[in-house]
Amino acid sequence: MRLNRVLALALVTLCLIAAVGNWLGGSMGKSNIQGSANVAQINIYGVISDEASSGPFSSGEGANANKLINSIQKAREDKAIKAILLQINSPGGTAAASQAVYEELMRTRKETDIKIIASLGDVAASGGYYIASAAHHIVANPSSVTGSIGVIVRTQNVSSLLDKIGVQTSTIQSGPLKDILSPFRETKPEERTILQGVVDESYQQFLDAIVAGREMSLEKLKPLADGRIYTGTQAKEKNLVDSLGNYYDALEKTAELANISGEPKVRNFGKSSLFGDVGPFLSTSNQQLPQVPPEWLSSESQWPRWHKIPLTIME
Amino acid sequence: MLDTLFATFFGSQPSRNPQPVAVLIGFVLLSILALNAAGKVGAGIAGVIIFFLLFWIAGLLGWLWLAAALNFSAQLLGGQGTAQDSLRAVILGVWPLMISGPAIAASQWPGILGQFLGLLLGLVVLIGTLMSLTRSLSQVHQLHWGRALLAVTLTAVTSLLAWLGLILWPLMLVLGL
Repeated sequence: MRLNRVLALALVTLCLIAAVGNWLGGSMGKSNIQGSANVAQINIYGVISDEASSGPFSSGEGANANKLINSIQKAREDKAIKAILLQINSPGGTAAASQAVYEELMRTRKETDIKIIASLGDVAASGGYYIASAAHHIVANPSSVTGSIGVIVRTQNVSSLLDKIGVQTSTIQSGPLKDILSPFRETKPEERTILQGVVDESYQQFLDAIVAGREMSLEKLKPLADGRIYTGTQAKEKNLVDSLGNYYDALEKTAELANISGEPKVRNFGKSSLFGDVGPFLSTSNQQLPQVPPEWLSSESQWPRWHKIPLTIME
Repeated sequence: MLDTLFATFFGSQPSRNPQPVAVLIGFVLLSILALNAAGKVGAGIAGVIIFFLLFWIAGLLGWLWLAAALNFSAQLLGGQGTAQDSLRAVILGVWPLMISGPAIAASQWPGILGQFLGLLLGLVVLIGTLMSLTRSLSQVHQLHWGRALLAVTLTAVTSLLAWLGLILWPLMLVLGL
């Protein structure tokens, strides 16, 4: 091959290789910047659920469980992360969503040395406390509202009202229990038994989660778990939270538990990117949304909904 | 093709059958610029593809604008080439922008050496593009170097004025109508 051909080819190849290097170097540089943080902050604000985001450029209202799980997984995979700081300000949410986030945190506790600290804001009740119970340490403000450990199913019977205005309803159903929780008639004893079973089971799962997360005996917990709410101070007295303080106290505790010397470097793992939901498409990380079990998507109205105290299952 | 590429890069005479080389330079240039940009924002493979598509559109628009403006300037200064010649001259003339790949890579090396090389190659890109564009224009329009350089400078000034016009015209229309 003649020299001028070699030179032309070499120049083009060199430029292309350098550009590929710039791209890869930039991507890795970004990863390094991300990796420099040692505390992953995950905000849990609003109602915890699996509801889809409202649009491509917004993260939607409330705390989306899949996004929270994704953030926890990313924090767990980041080798530089020594602690996860949960900033919770939530009245609760659906049972399945709260449980899913709790389980992911417990998995992180079991599989890694990452310390989990929860900082409670205005309110961290029901599902909010469910998630907080997965933390090694819970910090609450003295006036934070927490607790509300319990499950409630509420139904209305509007048949007499409908009679007054002359509305008649009829139901065609595949089985005798398909219209359970119907507001058009009195709840049957058989249905009451089933619903009580659901409530008891759900309640037991809630208790078991707190027992496992807080390393607390069931005997000690049960009297506290009658559905009442507590202030941060009361919760501290009852051992439902570990210490009182604000976000910065929680951050200090995080550094202490995770043995971080000096100022902890916090990165918000749940923060939406500039391009909203388009962000992951442009990102270097190969993110995959967790698969939502089909049963979560079906019949939303039947989810136990631990939302806005007291906890309810809505039809 | 490699001979034509070499002639385009370093030859003093117009290269023969430059169309395939023009396509190659255009493709390589877009790839390099897209990769550089993707590296700056830390984008993934999808980001590179998006940048490539965006740069393809932007490059096409820029190419047409620059060729039109250069052709106008060259004609004003006595150029003999056609609009098609100007289009080809632009794409062949901007090849030094490819060196932006090594320039950015070198600037990221640690220490003073990286800074020096980055600056040096940056200057090569800047001056090289100006010289290459001037040479390319002088070849296709059969202009002397000085006139070709004046045409390029005139085009640069026109471009800046066009930006100003883009702001002032709508302002004038909004206020005046």
